[in-house]
Amino acid sequence: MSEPEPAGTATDDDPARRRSRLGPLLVGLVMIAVGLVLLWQIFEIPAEGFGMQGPRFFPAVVVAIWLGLAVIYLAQHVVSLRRSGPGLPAARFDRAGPMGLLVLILVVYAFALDPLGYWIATSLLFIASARTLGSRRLRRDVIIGVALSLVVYLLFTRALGVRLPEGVLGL
Amino acid sequence: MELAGGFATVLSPANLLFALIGVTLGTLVGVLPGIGPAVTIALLLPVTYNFDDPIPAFIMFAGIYYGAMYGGSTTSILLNTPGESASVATAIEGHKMAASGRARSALATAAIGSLFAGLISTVLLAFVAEPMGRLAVTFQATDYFALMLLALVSVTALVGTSLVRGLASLMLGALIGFIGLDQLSGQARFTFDSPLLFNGVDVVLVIIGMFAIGETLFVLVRGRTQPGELTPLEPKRGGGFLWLSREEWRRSAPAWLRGASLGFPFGVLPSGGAELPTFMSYTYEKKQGKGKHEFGKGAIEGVAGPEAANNASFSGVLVPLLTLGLPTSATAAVLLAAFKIFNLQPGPQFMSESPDLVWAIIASLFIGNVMLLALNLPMIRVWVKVLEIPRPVLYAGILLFATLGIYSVSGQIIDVLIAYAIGVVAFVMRQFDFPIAPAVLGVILGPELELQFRRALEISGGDLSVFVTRPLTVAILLLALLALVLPYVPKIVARLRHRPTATAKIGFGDED
Repeated sequence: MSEPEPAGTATDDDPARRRSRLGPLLVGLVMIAVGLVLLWQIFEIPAEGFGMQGPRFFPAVVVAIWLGLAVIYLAQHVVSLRRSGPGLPAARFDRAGPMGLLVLILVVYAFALDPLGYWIATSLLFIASARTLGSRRLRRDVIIGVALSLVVYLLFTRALGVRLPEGVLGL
Repeated sequence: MELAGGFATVLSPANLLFALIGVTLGTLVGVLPGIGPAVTIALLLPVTYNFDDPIPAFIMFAGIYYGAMYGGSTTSILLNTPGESASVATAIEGHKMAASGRARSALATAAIGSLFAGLISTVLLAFVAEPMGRLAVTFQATDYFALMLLALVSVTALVGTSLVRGLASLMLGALIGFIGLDQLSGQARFTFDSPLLFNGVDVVLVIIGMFAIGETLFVLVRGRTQPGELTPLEPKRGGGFLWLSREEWRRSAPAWLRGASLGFPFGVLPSGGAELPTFMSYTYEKKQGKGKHEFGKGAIEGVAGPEAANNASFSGVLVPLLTLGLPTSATAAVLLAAFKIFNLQPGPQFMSESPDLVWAIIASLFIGNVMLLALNLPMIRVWVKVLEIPRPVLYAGILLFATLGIYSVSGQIIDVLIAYAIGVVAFVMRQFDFPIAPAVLGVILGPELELQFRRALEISGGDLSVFVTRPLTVAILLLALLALVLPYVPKIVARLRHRPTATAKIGFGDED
C-alpha cells in the first residue's frame, strides 16, 4: 500500500509548506527505539512464556505491529525520496526556540505548583506563557494572569471542593 | 413512559440551571479556535468531581457538548478555523456565506438545523436504546472483542490520509493504555518499575494532553498566534423568522433532514463519530442538492446539511456508548471517563440498572438543544467577543485550564508531567501528519479489547476457534475487514479499469 501523497489533502493552511526530509527519518528511528525499549519491558513483565491468556501476549503483539509500522513508515519515506518525490508529510519546526521555552515553562510550572502554591505558580505560568506565545503587553498579562488564577483557585477550592496546592501563602 | 420520567427529572429548576451553565460554559470554551467538544468536556470534568448525584453532572455535560459543538460552528463560520474535524465541512460554505454578508443566515441555519437534527435523533435514540440494550445482553466476550476491533479499525481507516500513520497512532494509544497493572493477572506492565505508573495513564490526561497541550504547541510553531480575520456580522435584516428568510427556510429544511438521516446511523455504527456523516452530507448537497450551483459561493445547504449530520451523529454515538459501553469517538471516550468518575459502567446492564439516569440523559439532550437555540442566537455578540481575545492570552488560558483539568484528576505532579509529555508527542504527531483520534480510542479500547480476548479464551479453554464459530462475531469481524479495505476501493476500481487516480485513499479530517 504505497501512498503518493496527494497535494490537495494537505491539511495545513500554510501555503509555503516545505517538507523536511530528515524529519520522517528521525520519527521512524525514534519509533523503532521506543519499540525496542518496550520489547525489553515486555520481558520484564513477571510471567512465563507468551501464552495468549497471559499478560505478555497482547503487549507483545502490539509492539510487534508497532515495530512493523515503523519500518514501513521509514520505507515509504525512503522510497519516496529515492524516486525524487517529496517524502512523507513533515511540517517544518519553525519557532522551535519559543516552543522549547514553552515546554520548559510548563515543566517548571509542574514542579513549582506544590511549593509555590496554585495562585502564585499559575499567575507566573500565565504571564510567562502568554509572553512566549507572542504577547508584548506585560501589564495586561499580569493583571489577567493574577486575577484569573485567583478566581479559578477560589472557585475550585471553595465552591467546587477540588483540592489545589496552597503553597507559601497558605491561602 | 420512561422518557416522561426523564423529563420530570430534568425539568426541575436546579437541573435546568445546570443545563444553562453547561450550555454557556460549553459555548464559551467551544468557540475557542482549535478546541472541540471532546476537549471542552475533558477540561470541564473537574467541575463535577464533587457532585454527589450523576444526573445534574450529565445534564451539564449534555449542555457542554451541544454548546461546544455550536461554538465550534460559530468559529468555523466567522473565522474559518474549524475547532474540530466535524465542523470542517461547515467552514467551507459557512465562511463563504459570512464573507458575502450572510453570516446571520449561516449561524441560524447551523443552530436551527442542530436543534432540528438533535430532536429527531434523540427521538431515534430513545427508540433504539431499549431494543439495543436487550440485544446487548446476549452479547458475549467474542462479540465485544469483534465490536471493539471494528470500532478501532474503522476509526483508523477512515480518519486521516494514511493507513500506516493511522495504525501507528492507534498502536501508540494501545501501548499507553497497557501501562499499569494488568487487569487480570495484576502484573505491572510498561511501568519501568515505578509505582507511580501502577494506576496507568488516565484517559483524561491523554485527551487534554493530546488536544489542548498539543494544539497550543502546534499553534505556536505554525505561527498562528495572531488573531485571524474575523468576518463581521451584518446588521439584522427585516422579514423572515429567526434570521432566516422564507426562501432560506425552504432550502435548509430538506438539507437538515438529509443531514440528520445520515448522521444518526453513522453515529450508531462505530465509524468514528461525526467526520464521516458530515462530509457525506456536504458531498451530497454539493452534488445532488438544489443549491449545488451555488457551492463555492456560500450555499446554505452546505451549512445546513453537515451541521445537522454533526448533531445527529452525537445521539447515534450514544447508542453504542450507553448500551454496550463502547466509545466510538473521542467525545464518547471522555463521556465514558465521566461515567467512571461516578462509578457508573455503561453497558448492557446499564439500561436496566440505572434507567433514571439513562432517560434523564436522553431528556437532557432535548433540553440542551432547545436551550442552546434560545441562548446562542440572541447572544451571538458575546461569543464574537470571545473570538476577539488576543491569541497569546487565549492560549495561555487554555494551558491554565488544561493543567487544572489534569491536576485535579489525581492531584499528582507526575500526572501533569505525563500529560505534558503526551502533549509534546501529539505535537510531533501533528507535525508529521499522524492522526490523533485513533490514539485516544486506542488508550481505552486497546486494554478492553485485550480483556475481552482473554475472557473469551478463558471461557473456551484457550480454544481460538470461538472467534470463528459464533455467527455474530464472524459477521462483525468481516465488517471490520471491510472497513479496512473500503477507503482503498476507489483506487482498486480505478486500477482494474487502468485509470490513474488522484487520491490514494479516501480520507476524512482528524483532530477530534
